Amino acid sequence: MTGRNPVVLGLLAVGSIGLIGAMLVDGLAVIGRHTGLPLTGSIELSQACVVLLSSCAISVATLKRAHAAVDLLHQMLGPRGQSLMLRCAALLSVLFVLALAAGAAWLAADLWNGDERTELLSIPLAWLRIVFIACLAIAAVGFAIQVFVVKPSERGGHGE
Amino acid sequence: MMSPELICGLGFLAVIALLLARAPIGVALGLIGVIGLALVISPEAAIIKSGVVAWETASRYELGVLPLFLLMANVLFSAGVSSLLFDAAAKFIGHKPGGLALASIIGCAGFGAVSGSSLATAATMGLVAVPEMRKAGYDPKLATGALAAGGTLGSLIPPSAALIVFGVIAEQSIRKLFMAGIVPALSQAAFYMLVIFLLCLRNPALGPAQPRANWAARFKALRAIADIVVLVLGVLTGIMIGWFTPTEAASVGAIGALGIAAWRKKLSKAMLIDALMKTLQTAGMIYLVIIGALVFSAFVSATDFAAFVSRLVDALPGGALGAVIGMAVILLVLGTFIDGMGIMLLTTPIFLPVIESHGLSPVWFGIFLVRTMEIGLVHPPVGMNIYVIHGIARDVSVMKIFSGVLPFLAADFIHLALLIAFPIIALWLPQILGA
Repeated sequence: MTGRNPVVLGLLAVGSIGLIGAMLVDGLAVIGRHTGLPLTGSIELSQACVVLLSSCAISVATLKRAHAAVDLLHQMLGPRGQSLMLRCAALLSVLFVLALAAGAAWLAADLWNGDERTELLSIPLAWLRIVFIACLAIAAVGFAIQVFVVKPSERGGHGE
Repeated sequence: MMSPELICGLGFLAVIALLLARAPIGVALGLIGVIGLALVISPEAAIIKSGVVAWETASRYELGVLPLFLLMANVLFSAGVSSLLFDAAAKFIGHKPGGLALASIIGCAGFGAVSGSSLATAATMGLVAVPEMRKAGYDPKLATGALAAGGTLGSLIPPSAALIVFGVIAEQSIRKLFMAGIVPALSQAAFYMLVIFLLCLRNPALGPAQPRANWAARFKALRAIADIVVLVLGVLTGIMIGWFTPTEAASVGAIGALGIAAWRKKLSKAMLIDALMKTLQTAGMIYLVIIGALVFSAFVSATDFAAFVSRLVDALPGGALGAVIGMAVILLVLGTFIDGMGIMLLTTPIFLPVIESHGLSPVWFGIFLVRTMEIGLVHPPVGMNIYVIHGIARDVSVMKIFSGVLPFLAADFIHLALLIAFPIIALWLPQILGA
């Protein structure tokens, strides 16, 4: 996955909106509080931005193969052993991320009819849950690709 | 039928096995957590619990502090902060024996206050300081050892990513943890500087003195970092005196960093995209780790394994002190083959209840834990900082860097012993600031 990958670019765009949005909302909240003009619902707005950024961040880290791992045994193996180890790790990762996505989807389905919203600004949380589940699904696909495609740089390199 | 304690014990070993099999840290913890919950409670409960944990972590307002501080660090890094910090320190003390090594420790402490990560601090300051020291005729062991050890300051000096993660999984105030980290981090830096001073006192050839910079050059170097120092101190002071929450402080810091980059004419579209991408990448890695750790923590809670460990630890002689020393030994042994973050996330759910049962402060425990995992960054065989520095100075062998780190490692152990004997080192500042 390169930086030119449209999925990565899309995630970068949405995640950056979340990141810069959270930064601006909190910045304005601080200014507002100290100037007597509090920004109503700033935490709710910031929380919505945090969901966007965290969801996209997990997918970006997966597609860019940036998750932290211990390299001790991996370094001692030959190229075939390293490749096999990376594929197994990726397969386990698919299982875990799918479990997270299934759990999050289960909850979202349970709460769907309740029209879950934030208290002050009535931001609909259901849509944020969908973004989160979609990003987990993208991460699962990213790990699944890693089961089949091991980059040469990952063999023999040192981890994070 | 296996007992829950046995299942948890096996789960603990399974996590270590998965970590060694190069599964991502978050996946190793989380997958065993899900499987363990499925065995101890039910598969349905395991899936729902993992979904709840994942959503609550991703939507947690307080955790926004992490990507925002990362953004601040990445923007300041692009603005060239690392070389400026080292340059300023070198102008003031570079003329002393070992002065550049001392400057590199100050630079690491300063950059740690920006980056919040030990590996980033070692890598970034190493790129700047190691070539300078080698050019100045410094002994390669001293040059690389000082940087590998100095890099560990990044995990304790606020804003620290490790302390933020600990605060989230242990449900402790991040503000208190930041305050508690300051004195141990500064005293650790002082210990490292003392080591360099003593080494060069014994053998001045290790770090030849450089020509003294005049005051005009010193003030020029200071002016070059003034805005960065004001920003970092402003952010930390703001948190300490309650002007803003840690998350708001991180936002103010990120806005300030963007302002500084714009003022220095370093802010461009390419630089911003690069900083955003790096921030999301690192944040995503940490989010998955936290989610995995919290799922694992839920599994540990469900098995009552912490109470089982607590009974074992209580059987150790020496009461609370014996328990803490026992934990330190376990952490250091684990640190020989698992990296720091993995150790912290694996052991916090088990050790924290033991600490609380002995009436010890969880905030102090956070500092103790981060300090211990920092030692793992420089001791064999994992010692990630060693490999980071080796990547910068390829001609210096890993063994040579390890031997260069040994005097600093000795200082680390003395410092850790003091932290255990005198918890006030960490708790004094939060107490006087009323946190």
